[in-house]
Amino acid sequence: MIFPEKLTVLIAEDDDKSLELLSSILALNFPNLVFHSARNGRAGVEIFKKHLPDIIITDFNMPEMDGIQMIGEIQSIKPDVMTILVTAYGDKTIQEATASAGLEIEHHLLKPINFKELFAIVNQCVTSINDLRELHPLPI
Amino acid sequence: MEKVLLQNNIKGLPTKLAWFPIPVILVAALVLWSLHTRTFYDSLYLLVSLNFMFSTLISLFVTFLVSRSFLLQGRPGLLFLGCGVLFWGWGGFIGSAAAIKVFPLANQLNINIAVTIHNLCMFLSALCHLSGSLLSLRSRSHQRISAAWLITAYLVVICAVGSITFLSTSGMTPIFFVQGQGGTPLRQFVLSCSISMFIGTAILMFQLYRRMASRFIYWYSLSLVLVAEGLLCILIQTVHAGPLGWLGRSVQYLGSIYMLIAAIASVLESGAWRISLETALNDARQQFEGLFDLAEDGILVHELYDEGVYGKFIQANPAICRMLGYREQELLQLGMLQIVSPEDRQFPEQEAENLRRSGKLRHEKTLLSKYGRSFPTEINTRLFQQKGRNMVMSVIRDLSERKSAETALQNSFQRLDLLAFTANRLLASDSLQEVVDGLCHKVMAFLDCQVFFNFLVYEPQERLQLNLFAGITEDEAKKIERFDFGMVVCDCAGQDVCRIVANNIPATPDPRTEVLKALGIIAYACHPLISKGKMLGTLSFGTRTRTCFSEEDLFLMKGMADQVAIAMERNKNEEELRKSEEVLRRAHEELEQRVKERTRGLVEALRELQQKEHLLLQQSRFAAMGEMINNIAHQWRQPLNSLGLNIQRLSLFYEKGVFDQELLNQSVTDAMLLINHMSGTIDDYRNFFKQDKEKMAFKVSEVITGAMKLVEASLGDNKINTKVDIQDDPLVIGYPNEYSQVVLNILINARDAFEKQRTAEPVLVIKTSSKDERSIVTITDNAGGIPPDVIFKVFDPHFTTKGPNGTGIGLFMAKNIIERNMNGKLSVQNTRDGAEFIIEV
Repeated sequence: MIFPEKLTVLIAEDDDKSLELLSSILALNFPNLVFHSARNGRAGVEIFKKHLPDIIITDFNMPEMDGIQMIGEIQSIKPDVMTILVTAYGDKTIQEATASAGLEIEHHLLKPINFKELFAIVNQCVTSINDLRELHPLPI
Repeated sequence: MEKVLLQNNIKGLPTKLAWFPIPVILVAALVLWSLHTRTFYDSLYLLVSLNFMFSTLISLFVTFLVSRSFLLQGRPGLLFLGCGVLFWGWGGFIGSAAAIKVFPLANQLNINIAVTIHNLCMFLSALCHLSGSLLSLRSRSHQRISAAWLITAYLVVICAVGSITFLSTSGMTPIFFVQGQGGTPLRQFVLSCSISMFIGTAILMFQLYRRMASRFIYWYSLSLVLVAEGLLCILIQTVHAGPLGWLGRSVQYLGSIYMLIAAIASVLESGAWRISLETALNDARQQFEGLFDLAEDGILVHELYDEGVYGKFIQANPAICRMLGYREQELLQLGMLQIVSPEDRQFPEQEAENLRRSGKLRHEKTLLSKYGRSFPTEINTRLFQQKGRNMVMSVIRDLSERKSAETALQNSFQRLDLLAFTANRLLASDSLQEVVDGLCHKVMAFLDCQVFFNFLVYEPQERLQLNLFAGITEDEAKKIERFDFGMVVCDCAGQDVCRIVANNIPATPDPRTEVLKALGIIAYACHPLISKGKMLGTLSFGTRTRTCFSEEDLFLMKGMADQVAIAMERNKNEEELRKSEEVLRRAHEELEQRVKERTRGLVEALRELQQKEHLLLQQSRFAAMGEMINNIAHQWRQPLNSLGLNIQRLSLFYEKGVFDQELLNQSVTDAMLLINHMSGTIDDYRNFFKQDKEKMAFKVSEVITGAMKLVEASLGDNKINTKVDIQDDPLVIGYPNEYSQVVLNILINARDAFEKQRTAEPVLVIKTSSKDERSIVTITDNAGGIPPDVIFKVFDPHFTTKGPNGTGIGLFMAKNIIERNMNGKLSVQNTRDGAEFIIEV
């Protein structure tokens, strides 16, 4: 099985400490993935345009542009991107918000983040991307 | 006043100057004495005639007048005066006459005789004068004096003068005067005493004059002074019948002229000249007898024997004869015991003893007339001496009239008592009816009436209705139960409002008295009961035993009627008063009841309101707490997340074999930072919820910053752009935490508004400034503002625009805090883009 290139992941988070921690542990656990990080939604969109990552892990609440708005822009560029939304709210308002925005967000994760869940979701995303690639290999 | 007038009358010009000769003579006497003239002219014959003319005749005249006065007035002083005048008038004459008889030629011996007799008589005269004037001064008591005293006294004088003459002519008296040498010491002493006594008498008389203002006394006292001066001349002469002697004689004659003037003045004064002594005595006697006969009181005189036994009557006046029905002759045969009624005859001995001891007695005794009528008397008894016998005079006053007057008085007292009793009962009692009934019975008994009616006016029909009655049967009463005005006698009283009296009814043919006649009433009196000019009824009394009533009876009835009328009026007034009081009381009670209910309602409403307010407060607390917990959640979410990542990283690194000391240190440091941050957040909230106990000064900006810090996470989540513009930051006095709650509340409202309006670029501007030493904080958002139809309701409790999530408490409480607790003002207005809250403290 040939992987023409490594899968890339965008992490958007406004809290520096959390961003650094998330990046470091994900990098340690998934050495095969490439990580990009953004401090807010707008920066995230810019980085996405540049690297076109496969997986987006984003916080909901961010200045300039929140997670849902960012996902909306990104999906308009690349609809099949895998999205993981990290929220502090367990209630349904976020899901309603996303639904009303016409977005499809695959995964939700509640703060505080549990590593095992996060890792499992990321694994799941990687697997599903790989499966898709096997079905539709990229034209080289 | 009278006395002054009298004195003015007395003091005519001659009277005023009457004293003038006295000092002149005194001076002349002294001059003559100092000249020591020894020339003399002595003629006993001349002396005898002069003495007789001037002294003796005048003295007889004066003595006659004085005796008259004595007999009329009975003053012993006058008797002495008379004797004195006699001595004085006869002394000189007898002396000189005797000398001539013994030795017709003037020589040593007869001069001595003349001088001796004269001087001794003068001495006796002076003595009598002094005694007389002293007695006049001291006693003024009138004593019954008979002429016997007068005659005796004058006989004594004559005897005395005779004895002196006899003794001196027989040479049995000591030598009094030696020609050329003057008086012997004895004679000088006798004469000096005489002079002193005359002067003393003159002084006493002058004092008397000042009290009585009598012309007689005035002239008489002056005459005595002149006599004394004459005697003084004689006293100091050494030669008998020298110039000094003649001066002395002349002065004595002048004195006698004064005396004559005095006597004439006295006669003129009293007017007694015209009355003869006999007439005067007769008058006095008649006057006395007239009094005795005319006296209203009976007078009886009888003797009282030593054994306490009364003698027969000696005198009885017509009054006592009338009283007892005896003739005077019959009465003089009786004694006290016969006229005293048997029950008063006890203890005569004791009465006699009392009478003897005190001289008078006053007692009441019942006397018995000739015809056996006994009557009360008051007897005033006096004891007096007559011819050595104890005599009793009793003045007897018939008391039967007084007694009957007393009875009448007592009767009228009883009437007045009855009226007073009536008034008392009427005033004291509530049950008028009973009292009137009782009182009328009393009056009936008192007036000897057998019937009384009391009618009352029954107004609508103008007629009288029988109210109370006595002395007739029920059946009879039914017949006179009611009358129209004018029908019968008692109605006439009612109709005419005046008293109606019907006397001797059986003999009077009057149709109106038929009713009374039928009841056997003989005399009848009806009085209207009138109060304030209005007739209330009638009160009438009737008798079956008498033909008429006396004025006193009618007076009593009228008094009774008046009092009953007053009492009725009073009763009526009281009844009305009681009724109106009752109405008032009821109204008052009703009002009180309503006030009570109302108060209860108010209290309940107040309690409800308090409960509601309490609930509101509670709700606002909960809301605020919920809000805060929400904010804490926001604040903590991120650090909790970081803390979680940090901790999990340790175990992950360890698994991957990259765990080292550095990582551990780094992780611990990071974790502690986060924990401290979270701890600080908690403190912020805790401070926020602390209640301010006291007002304190604080800076508005600090409170705003603190509030912002609490909600910044929440605001940040909503991407709200906040700007704090501090232009001026004055210190304000108040409760900082409460103020911060207000700010927070407005901030949260703004945040909610932004969220609701989905404002694209929410901006919140907080501006602090000051105006007139008050801080003004404006919080402006751009969330579109408050709809104008509710903007005036935003501070009402329970008003909310947030649907079921809002409590409607926040702004209500905020307004309370600012305006009630901190005397500030919280208001809201819409700007172009949104709402603006203004906090003024």
